[in-house]
Amino acid sequence: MLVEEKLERVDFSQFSKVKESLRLKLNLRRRADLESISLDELDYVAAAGTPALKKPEEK
Amino acid sequence: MEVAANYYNELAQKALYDEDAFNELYEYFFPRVYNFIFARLKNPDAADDIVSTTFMKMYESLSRYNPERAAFSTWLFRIALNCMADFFRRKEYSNETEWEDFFDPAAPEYHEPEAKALADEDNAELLKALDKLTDKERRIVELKYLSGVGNKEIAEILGITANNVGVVLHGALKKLKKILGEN
Repeated sequence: MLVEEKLERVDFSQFSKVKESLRLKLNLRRRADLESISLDELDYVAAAGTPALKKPEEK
Repeated sequence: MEVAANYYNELAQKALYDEDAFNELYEYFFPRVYNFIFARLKNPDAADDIVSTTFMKMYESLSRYNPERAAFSTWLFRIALNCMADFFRRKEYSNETEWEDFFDPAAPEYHEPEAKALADEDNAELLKALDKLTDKERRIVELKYLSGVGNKEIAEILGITANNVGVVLHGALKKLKKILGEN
């Protein structure tokens, strides 16, 4: 086998102990961030849609 | 290679909002980044440490990734290089002793599964041969063959020309073949 082929076949990542836990952690963060963006957007929309309060008429 | 680079550039932009895109990006790049880091450190705990930092930083900056400025692979491997540099600065790291322990059946590390993989003759021979290259030769070979990065992206990652990558790669392969006794 040529040295290029030998190098391409190497895969040390099978020995990583963090691959799956890191993926999970990143996905949880991603979902939490998306949720907080959604909540912020809702706040913005709600704020934009609130009618201006009328001042009570002065007697 | 250009088509593949564009595909992953677009996938990276989708990955912030789309879990399938994120998982596909992660699945593709995790082994490539890990191989690159591990080949240098030959220590799975340190490699886990650095690969975790790399992907955390990748995620934190993903919203600012701009495909007009660089391919995603270029951007990600630059993060990995910076994380490795930080690691070496933080510690008085010497891989000499730990590397040799993997070859010593008397050392406790020898019995770890990853040590056995390293002790696999082919892998051990390859890693020892890589140790004999210059830093530049080694980085280029590792990015090209252990991480599957194209010459153009390698040039961008290392701040050199694609032509220089080709020339250095040619010389490095010749050296490796001589070291490994290949004709």
